[in-house]
Amino acid sequence: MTFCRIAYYNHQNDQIMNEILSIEPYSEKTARVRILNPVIADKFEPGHFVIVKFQSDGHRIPFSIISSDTQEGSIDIIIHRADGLDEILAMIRTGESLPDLLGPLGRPADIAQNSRILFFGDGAGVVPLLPLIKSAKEKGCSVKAVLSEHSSRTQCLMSEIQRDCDAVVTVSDDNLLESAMNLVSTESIDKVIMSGPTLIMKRLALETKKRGIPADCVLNMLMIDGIGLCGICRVIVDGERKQTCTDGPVFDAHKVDFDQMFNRQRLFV
Amino acid sequence: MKTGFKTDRDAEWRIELRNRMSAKERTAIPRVKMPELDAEYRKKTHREVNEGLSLEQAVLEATRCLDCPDPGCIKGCPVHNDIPGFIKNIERREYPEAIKVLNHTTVLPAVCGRVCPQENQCEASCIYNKMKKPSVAIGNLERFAADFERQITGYIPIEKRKAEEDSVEEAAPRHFYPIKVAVIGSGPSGLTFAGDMRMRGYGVTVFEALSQFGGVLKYGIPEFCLPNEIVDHEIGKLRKMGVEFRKDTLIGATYTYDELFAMGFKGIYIATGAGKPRFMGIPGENLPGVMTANEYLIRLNCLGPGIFGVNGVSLDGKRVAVIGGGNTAIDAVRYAVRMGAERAMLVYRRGLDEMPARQEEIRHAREEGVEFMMLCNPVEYLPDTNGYLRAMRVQKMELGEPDESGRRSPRPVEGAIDEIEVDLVVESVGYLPNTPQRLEGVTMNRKGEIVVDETSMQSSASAIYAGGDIVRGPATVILAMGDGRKAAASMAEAFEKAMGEITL
Repeated sequence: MTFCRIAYYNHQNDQIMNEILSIEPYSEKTARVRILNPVIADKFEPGHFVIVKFQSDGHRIPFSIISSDTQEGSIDIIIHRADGLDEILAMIRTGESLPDLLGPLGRPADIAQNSRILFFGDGAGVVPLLPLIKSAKEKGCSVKAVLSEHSSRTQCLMSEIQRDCDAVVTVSDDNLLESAMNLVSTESIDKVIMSGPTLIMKRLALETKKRGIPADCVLNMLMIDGIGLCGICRVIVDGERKQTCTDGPVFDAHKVDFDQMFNRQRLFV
Repeated sequence: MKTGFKTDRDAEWRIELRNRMSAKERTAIPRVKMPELDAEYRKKTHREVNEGLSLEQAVLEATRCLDCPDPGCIKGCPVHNDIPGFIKNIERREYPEAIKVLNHTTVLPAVCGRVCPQENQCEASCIYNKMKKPSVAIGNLERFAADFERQITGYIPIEKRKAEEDSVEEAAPRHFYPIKVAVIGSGPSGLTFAGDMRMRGYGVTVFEALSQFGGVLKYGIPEFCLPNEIVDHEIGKLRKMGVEFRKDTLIGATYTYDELFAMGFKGIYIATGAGKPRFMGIPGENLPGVMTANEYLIRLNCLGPGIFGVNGVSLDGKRVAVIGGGNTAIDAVRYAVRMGAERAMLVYRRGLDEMPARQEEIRHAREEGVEFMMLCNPVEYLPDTNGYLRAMRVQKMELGEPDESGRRSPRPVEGAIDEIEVDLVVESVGYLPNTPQRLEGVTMNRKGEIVVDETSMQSSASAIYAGGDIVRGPATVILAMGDGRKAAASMAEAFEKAMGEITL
């Protein structure tokens, strides 16, 4: 397994594509990686993801696009050193080019102008929320966030979240849900957007449904091709089979069958 | 490139060759058997099962062909290969000439020689069938010619000795138009179209969403049926001709169709295929351990058998049940054998005679020890206490009256339900079209297939053509290639007409 050093040359733009421009560590475990790809940078909308291959014979791994810089022609992804990604973080170097980068995939999230949104994130689930929080801010929304405290992933991203949020509540794991529900019931919220462990999303979905508050969830599923061919990322939404890669990754949380998803997700936790 | 290209049957050498042996002598030769790897050995290897004819075997088989004055085989071939033309060149031992004849009508002879259902096409129309004898092994000979070409290097082509017809190897459109076209999808249809348009002198760029070129030839058909090296060779030939290839480009997402036109592409050929999996739609389908044939084959063909995640489903060993009766199902179950499966079961709701898979593949599977569970239909997948797949409930079926497809339709036998312990279920129950995203102004049918004019392959948008499985639904490699050929001919005609109208 050697890292592919051969750059992908784009004849159209006379430009080397997929070069790693920078690797900015947030913590020992997490780093933000900036990749040159002007085409994807131009097309990026919050909610989109890319499929990355770090080695030409490696796995295809989906990553949320965190942000894009159209001037520089780059996109940012966040790699967390877990779930078999340790090796990758140790292996990649600035200046090298990724053998494969496919995107932008998925459907952009639906965030209404000037609405009141509560973001709920736990663990690695915070990562895909970042672009959505930023987008909500830009759309003039009132943005609040409830995040779990212990997660190292949230700790290292906190400054970024605080920048774009009107209020951030960090809570310990024990009363994560209670805190979220307190906020939901005491303040007027137009929509909850959640991303985190399936069981917590399931409970929050139930609670919001009871109170009649719309809720979206960002699903994190294993993928292979990312274009709807393999069916590995299938979920049941509103009784229908949907694919996270082509129909998601954002779904109406009230309609997702979390139990079935939980059972499938054990495949790759 | 000429559609319906035909060599001269009355060339001097050919008449002499015909007169060398009587028809009676030729028909007395038994069909040469394709050498195969031993079944026990091949269960442990991913090597190609059919080893290919040797030189002497190929010449002997070619001798069987009677070089009929009105050959049925050409009519039976969807791209109308000049079959006697290439076979007689094998007989006179001018093997590179044989491949040149094929190159006039097909860009993927090594592929077609392997995966075409010849028994329903060219070989079904062979004169030998009327004599109640096994037909000339056209597929095996086509494969021989293509393999021969791939394996020799430094051969001096006949025209260097004696100037004659052109060939693909010279890769030479003699003139170039300053017109470029885009091909969406690098499967058999897209490659054929790309080759044809390039030969006509147009600039061609092929866009592929995944990271390897070849589409179903790479991701779908396993190594032991069609080695990837062969597909790469054919793609290499196209590159040499000047066709550009772009991977990791999903048209509709990475670039939109409008952007392609804005980039200067004057025509687009959509050949995205039919690769979205259908499901049985029965309880337990989302259990870990139940997967689509696509997932199974893509993982094995391109990613290796490794596990994803800590609790992932490994593809090694186990009791594997593949649901379905098509070629994909057979490929999957034969792959399971090679992964060391304890039991490799093929579960099909009709009988063996109704199976759409190729006879040769069915025979190979049987030799390799696949259990054929015919007239069986799974109705539910059952979990173990941990929520993983444990077993499937299978409904016994019987055959009733023929349905609209002409096959006898299966119906359940009341009360006959078995429970079978399985570790892995692979569903291979058909495909849906890979409907292009964000494609406006093109009429599609209810299934999401593109509607085209059947002769020109032109869609309702004048600059967009389509062919292959995205138009006709899941079909064969050769039909997809035929579409590519037709589309290239009519798109080129449209360009030439338009250019004729512009006078400077």
